Amino acid sequence: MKLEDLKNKWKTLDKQLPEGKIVNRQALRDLIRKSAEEDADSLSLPEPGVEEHTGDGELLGDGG
Amino acid sequence: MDKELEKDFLEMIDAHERVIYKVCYFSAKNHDELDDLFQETVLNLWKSFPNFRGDSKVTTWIYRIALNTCINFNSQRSTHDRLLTVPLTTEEVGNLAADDDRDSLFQELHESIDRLNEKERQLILLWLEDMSYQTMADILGTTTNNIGVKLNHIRHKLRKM
Repeated sequence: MKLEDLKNKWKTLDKQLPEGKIVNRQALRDLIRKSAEEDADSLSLPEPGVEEHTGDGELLGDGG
Repeated sequence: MDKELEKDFLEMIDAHERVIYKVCYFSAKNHDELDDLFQETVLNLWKSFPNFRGDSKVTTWIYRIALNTCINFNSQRSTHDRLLTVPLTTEEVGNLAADDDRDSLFQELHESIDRLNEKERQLILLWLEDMSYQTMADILGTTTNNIGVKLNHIRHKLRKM
């Protein structure tokens, strides 16, 4: 196949894309909100009494 | 949440949604995957948006994020989670999936580009979009000379098919 034939196919597909809006604005707002919620969850502090580890067996200290 | 940031992001998506959608359309294997990929790309754009300082053109930044998302998506095909259970696209776009003629052309296109490797597919997409060698080089982080060499290689590769 020639590159130019590929371009013709791509242009035909491109022309068939909807002229109007592509993104559902409400769904986009929901996506942003859920992403923020997910980020907040991942940053939340551990429950009291739960030991926090660095992953290499040492407890977090004051660096001294 | 920073309302001003969200407003700017929504305006940016409004202005460039077609570009984002086309990158995903080119990379997805089918319509279900297209929905997932489009959602993930928009999400990655949102996460990167606060760090975009305008050092490059916004379209260059969009292409870079979108192309990288497509690469990661393809390498982790079965492990991505969706934040939304509904498509991010409008109903009008969703109706495209039911168009048999379009679907057939989509399959034909993919039969050709699926034989190219990931980097070659990225380059071909930019070429199909009639970009200059300089723009393609900026997006892919290479030289115009390298773009010419790679396109020539792809041209020969496709001819053998």
